[in-house]
Amino acid sequence: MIARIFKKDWILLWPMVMLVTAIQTLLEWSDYDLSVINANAAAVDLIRPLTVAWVLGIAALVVAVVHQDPIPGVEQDWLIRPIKRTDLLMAKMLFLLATISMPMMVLNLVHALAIGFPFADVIGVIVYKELYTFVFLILPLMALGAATRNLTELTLLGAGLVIAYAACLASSAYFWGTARCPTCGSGLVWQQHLLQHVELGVGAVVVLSLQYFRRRTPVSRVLILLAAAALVFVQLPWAAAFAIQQRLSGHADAPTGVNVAVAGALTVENPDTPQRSARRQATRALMNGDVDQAFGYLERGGGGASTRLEIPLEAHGLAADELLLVDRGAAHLGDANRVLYRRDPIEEDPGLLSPPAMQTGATPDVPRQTIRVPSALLTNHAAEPRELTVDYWLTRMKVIEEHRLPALDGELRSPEAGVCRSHLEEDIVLLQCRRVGPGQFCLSATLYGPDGAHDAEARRCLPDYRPYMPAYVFVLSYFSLELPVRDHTGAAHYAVDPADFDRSYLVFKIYGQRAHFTQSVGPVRVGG
Amino acid sequence: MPSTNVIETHEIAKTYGQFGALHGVSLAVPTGSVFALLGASGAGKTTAIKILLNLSAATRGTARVLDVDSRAMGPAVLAQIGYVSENQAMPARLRVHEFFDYLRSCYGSWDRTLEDRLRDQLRLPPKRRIGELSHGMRLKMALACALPYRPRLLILDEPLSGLDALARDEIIDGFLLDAGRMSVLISSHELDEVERFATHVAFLHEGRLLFQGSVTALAEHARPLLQGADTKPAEARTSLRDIFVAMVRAARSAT
Repeated sequence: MIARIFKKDWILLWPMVMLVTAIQTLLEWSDYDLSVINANAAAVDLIRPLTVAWVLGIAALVVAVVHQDPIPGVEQDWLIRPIKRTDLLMAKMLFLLATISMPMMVLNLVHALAIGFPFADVIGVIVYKELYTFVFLILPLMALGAATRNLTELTLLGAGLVIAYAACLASSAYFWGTARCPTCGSGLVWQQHLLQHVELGVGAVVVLSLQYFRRRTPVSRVLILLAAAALVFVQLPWAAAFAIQQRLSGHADAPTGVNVAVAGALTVENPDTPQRSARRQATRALMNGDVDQAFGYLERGGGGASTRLEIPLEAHGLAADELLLVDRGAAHLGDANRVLYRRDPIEEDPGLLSPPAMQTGATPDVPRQTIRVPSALLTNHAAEPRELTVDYWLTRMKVIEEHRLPALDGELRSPEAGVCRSHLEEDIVLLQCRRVGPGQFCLSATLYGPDGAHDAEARRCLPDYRPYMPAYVFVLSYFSLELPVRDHTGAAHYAVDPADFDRSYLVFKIYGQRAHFTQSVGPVRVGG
Repeated sequence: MPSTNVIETHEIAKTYGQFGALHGVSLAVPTGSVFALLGASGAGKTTAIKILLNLSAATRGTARVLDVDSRAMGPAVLAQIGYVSENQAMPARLRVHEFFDYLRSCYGSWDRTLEDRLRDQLRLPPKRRIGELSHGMRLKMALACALPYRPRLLILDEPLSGLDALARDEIIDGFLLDAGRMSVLISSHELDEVERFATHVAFLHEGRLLFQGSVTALAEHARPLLQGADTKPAEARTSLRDIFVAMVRAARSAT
């Protein structure tokens, strides 16, 4: 029976399947032609609209196949036929596996093989990615289709979902401000995303079961709306997320031997302009669609004037090939007896902490932690000393691969880097890499001339500790690094002469997570 | 012990919000009968049929079809039931022959010879998409899809409404007068047509059952109601329409 339902759906939907496959093919071609291979400008322009078309095409196909035998209603023919509900559901799933997942798998595979990745390295990741896409994208779309009878109902339910989601988001931002999503903006946000994906997957299975085996449409629709609310309100607390990350790194209890300390005198700057400016900034942030930043401005400005405290930091105990990433900081200001003010998290990021040996230049930049505190706390009782303590959640990064490749048109292949190529693009050397599976998020590269002279090291560390591939569409991740190498205005000085570029080389380092740990800095005396 | 009835309902009721569509209806459709469920539009005929086929849940009461609780009706029971409705939503973009191909695999007892005969008899165009068929052709198509597996029970929901006289005769003469071993439940408000083939009747009025029984029993039951009623001359045969009208009037005067 499954085969018969499949065949019937194929007869009805094959033109749509062809269209979606064509979109998939174009999208894969664009991605192939995009960067590492040809840097084709047309491909760059195509990739965004094609991605939108892909999502819409997939959604339309999923819903269309479910709507061929709709669940809600009393007049559809299949209800009076001796068709097992399990067969019907299986036939729909099989159809989507065959018409969406299989073509995508083949295209992903051909793409990866064309770039030169071995079949054995690629196939496992591709199968995993297709399963991931099926469970967390296709099944939820199927659930939406199963809870509606036709396109009109789907549009109404979709509009209801968007409104419910937006209302939840707005109320969450109103009541909790920036604390509404503890892991957002950090390398741990993948856990929140995974939680949301699991919610979607489980919700989809429940709705599909309710619809196909019980035909409980009102209950299913309520569940779908509740799932939209859960996506906003079910948040992983920061401490739990960090503990999970520590467990995953396998170094939860290991002594780190790393110490972050205050590297000099604390600086107290004049009070910032109070509320009025904060409101203006918040309005501007809202107009740019950044709710978190808007709330940040309001929080900072809401209590009157604030004073900027700056603490210079240094890290001891790091090896020469190590870095320290600050995942989160929390500050508390108090006197000897009690905490008067707490800022958790601190919005300002001190940046990467690296061993002094790695810092280049005559006067190396010292990382500074900026903290804004209400001025009243410092001025009303100016004679009383205050103490500032900062708690840090840190990640120790270590070089896991180091490579040397020509600065112009160099190519590199390695397990951690994947396939990387370098080329000159106006005033920068661009290093681009494609890798099967998750990309690398912490990279550095230095341009060396033939005489050994070198430019400043370029680094890019945007923490993302997820252990899995996050993408729905592509199986190859993309990461890159830009090295500024010349400045026509003469404002910046570069040690490597552009005339020597064809004999220059890049030293490229990839950092991997070594350990996650917490540490307190201070107390630091403020005023008094 | 198997029941002698193919359909039995016990006090089934259905409400939609404040509106009561059915009020405690108990039906018994004998095996082998051609049972006509009659009533005006909105009397509750279609609602009752949807409950029998588990397309809709009763607010209260129970229904048994072919000795199985209608709520627990699975593929094995559905394989023995043919259903034809004017509202039946068949896949509009499938061609006639493609839909038959599809249905054949659903039924173990599908008789290909009977299918061919029905398709010839009803002159169904094989290449035409179902959505392009006229109302009458779609009803014929639904009928042709409901018979080749030789169901024990055929349920027809308003199969004659909207059909021209020729099509009605084709259906009545071709299928209903020769039901054979099949039990038939047919809902209709076309009382004059039903009279030609029904062995049993039930009258529904505003969700309430006014009468059910054999056609012979109906005449006996209706005699007191018809005495003094302004119907036809005594020598003329009393029609289902007259009896139905008399019953409805009696029901209205009682309330």
